[in-house]
Amino acid sequence: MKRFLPHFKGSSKLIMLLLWLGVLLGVAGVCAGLIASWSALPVGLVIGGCVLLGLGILLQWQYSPPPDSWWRRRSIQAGTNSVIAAAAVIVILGLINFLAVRYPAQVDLTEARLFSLAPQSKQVVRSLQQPLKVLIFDKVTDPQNRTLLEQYQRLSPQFEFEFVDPQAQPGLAQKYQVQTAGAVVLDAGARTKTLDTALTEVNLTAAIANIVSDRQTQVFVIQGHGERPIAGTQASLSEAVEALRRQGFKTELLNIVERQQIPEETDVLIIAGPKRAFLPAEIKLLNGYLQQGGKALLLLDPETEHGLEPVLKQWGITLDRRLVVDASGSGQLLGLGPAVPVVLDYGPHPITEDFAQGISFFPLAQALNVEQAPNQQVTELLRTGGSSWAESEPDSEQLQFDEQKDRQGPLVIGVAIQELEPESSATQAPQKSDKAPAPNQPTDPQSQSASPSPSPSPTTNGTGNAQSSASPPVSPSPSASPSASPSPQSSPQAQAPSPEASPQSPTAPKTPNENAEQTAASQSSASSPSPKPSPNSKPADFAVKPTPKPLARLVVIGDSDFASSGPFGQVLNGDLFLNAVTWLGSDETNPSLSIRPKEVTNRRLQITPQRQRLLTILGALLPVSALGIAVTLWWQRR
Amino acid sequence: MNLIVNNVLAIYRKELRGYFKAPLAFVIASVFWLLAGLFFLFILQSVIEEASQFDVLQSQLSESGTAIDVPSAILQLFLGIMGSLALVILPILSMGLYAEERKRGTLELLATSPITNWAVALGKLMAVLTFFITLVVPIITLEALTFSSANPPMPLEILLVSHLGLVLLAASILALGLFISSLTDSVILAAILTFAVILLLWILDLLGERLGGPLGGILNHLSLLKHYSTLSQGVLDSSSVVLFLSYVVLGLFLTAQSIDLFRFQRS
Repeated sequence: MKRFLPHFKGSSKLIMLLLWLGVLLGVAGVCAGLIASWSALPVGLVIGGCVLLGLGILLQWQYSPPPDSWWRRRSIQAGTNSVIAAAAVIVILGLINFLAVRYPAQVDLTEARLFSLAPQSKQVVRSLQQPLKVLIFDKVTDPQNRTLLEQYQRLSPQFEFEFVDPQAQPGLAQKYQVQTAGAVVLDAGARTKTLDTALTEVNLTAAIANIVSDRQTQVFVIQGHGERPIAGTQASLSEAVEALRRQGFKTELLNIVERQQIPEETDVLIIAGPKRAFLPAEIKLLNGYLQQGGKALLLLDPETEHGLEPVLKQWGITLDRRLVVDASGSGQLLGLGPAVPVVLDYGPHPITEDFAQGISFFPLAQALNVEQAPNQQVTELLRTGGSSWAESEPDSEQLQFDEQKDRQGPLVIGVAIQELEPESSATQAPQKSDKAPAPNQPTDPQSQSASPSPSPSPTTNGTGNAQSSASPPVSPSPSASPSASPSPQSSPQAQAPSPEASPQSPTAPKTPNENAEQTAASQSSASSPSPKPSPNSKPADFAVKPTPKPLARLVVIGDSDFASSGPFGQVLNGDLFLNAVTWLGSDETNPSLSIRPKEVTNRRLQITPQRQRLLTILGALLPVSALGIAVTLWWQRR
Repeated sequence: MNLIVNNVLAIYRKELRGYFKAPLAFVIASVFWLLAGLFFLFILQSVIEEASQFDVLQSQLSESGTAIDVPSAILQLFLGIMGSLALVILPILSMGLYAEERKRGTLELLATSPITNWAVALGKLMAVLTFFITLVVPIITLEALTFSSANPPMPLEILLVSHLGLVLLAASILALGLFISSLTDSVILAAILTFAVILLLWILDLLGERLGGPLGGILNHLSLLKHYSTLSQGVLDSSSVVLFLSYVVLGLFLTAQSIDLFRFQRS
């Protein structure tokens, strides 16, 4: 071959140049195309690079020595061999990588397990039975979201996700009624759900658990006393109901007189602005419902005779009945008069936790007085400003604060009440459970844990329970969602009302968390709930302790106008309403609720000035010394 | 077997000795240390300042707000910089491995010697990787001096795994550089080609995201950056380690094949 070299020494340089330029142009084009877009310039660069490369190879072929001698053929043979061998190695490596991706083993060494899902999430995703697709409508792909969703995807082949550019695919955005960028939609085929909160593991798992549950959260809106209608344009709840539907709630009207009862499947009861009095029988039904762990949202306007005071009294609430007047003028920015108090101050509660200093307003509202009763947790949700007062004579020409008759703000116009677990006041609850062990006692922890009953329906008790008002809040119903996984809901076991199977036995609340990982082991323990309850043992890792007993929840707001069409869509009013219903409808036995958001360790560097100086000196010394050695070596060589 | 190990070690020792006698290696070390040290001190300063500002703000609002992990933030930022720096330094380290031999005409000796080609390649790769680790060790000392004053103390595992990621990244880039270096007798061409190839592999996940679908997934998986960042965050993912090792094996194999071909062509 050497004898050919003088002949094409020049041309070999040309070939080199061509190859070079080809590669350079190609890389430049690919980079430009990736970073910007595949417009004419990058495509042209890539094509140009390919052409130059091809030309170089062609020239090389042309100028290479003619294949006339035996070694030439042998080299071709060897070349073919090595190409085949290389292909084989690449295929083998590809397969190994495929297996490694398919069966990943991941050790998350960060302290807070920042890059792993909580056991509850794993359980929820693994139990997916039908395909679930998560669509994120955003122009830019957040790598953090992607990482999170990839972790979900790894757990179940049923889980898919897609980042959708709403401008590129407006049809898809329209289909899911997406209005804001960054909206997250869960599509489980038959049902869709919009995730209104941020895309975090806590929210996503809860949403998944909700959407795969066999039944929707059932919201009943009571009618028959001049309440706000759920349809129509003027002063109706139509916007609110539509928003609830998008959230996956099922909303229906309920006339208690017509049904003679509050249906068992009720998850949340809404009473919005009644104008006529409830009948005593209705009041009794409502009281019974709440005592059995019902959830209700009461929106009560001032100066109406709704007759709900006996119900409220049970929970320590009395209505002020006077109109709240806000003289601060902060409502004027929104074009609101003094009869529309503006709320900027929210209590610490799941309903209002994201509100910060946001605005909500309540046309024609009344204040509430709350007394903290034992065994319940009261949170003042909404507080008006200091320059507001409760006006006793709203009809007078000039609204003025009258120290004698009026009440000075800040006034509470919304409260959330949660019944606490009876163990905190240990006297009443055991009595109740002894008296009436509810007929169907599913203290079967396996059915609770293996099927994450995310449907927030602790009130769907057996039929016997609803009638017997004497057996109040003791019957948990984790069996509400039998479809999430085939849980052997053995009826003989359920009907054995042994004292240890009473819901007070804390095996049920405790095990769901433990069982999340090991379902098989729990199946054996499921048949024998531990007889010795130790009510105070708390699962250490979880913030919210799931409980089998339905606990009543109540949100009372002294105004219903804020949720009517019009005001609903403004500022935080709609969020307040939706969050309240979501909180009421959320199931405390839902495993996904007990996920605590991950947080990094709070860690600081405490570098002393000496250490800092040492670092700087070392940082300077290193390159200087290396350079010194280089110069010395070079000097020696010379 | 023993013979092969001895052969590999002989090549390894010879190559390594070469590095510590060459002024160029020390110039590279000097530049690397200068850049890495500057970046480290700069990141240290800015993150600490930011954290203290945040603390002041939080104490004013008297809120128990979000926690921040200062050492981890420094480590993340700095390892990102180290990755980019390695991208520039490693092709320079690997460029001469075979191209120099070709130029000097010593490759014929190597190719026809009784030592198998892949043993030579492995020895060379180990030597250059050792040199790179030597470059990194003083920088790790700086980090260790810094992180030892963390309160509460920093877990050692994260530091180990994240630097393991750096070493694996270097090994796979060097293996590919080794192969490219064996293709040409121009040192500069080898460096530029290596840089181009690893830059492509570095940003392959962007392309994968653009494409989507199974092909996009494959490209995404081949990306060096993605796996490097997984490891540097402190997540020991088997698929990342397997991918890096695959690149190393592929580089070594292709190098051996290319030297094999060279022997036939020159005989």
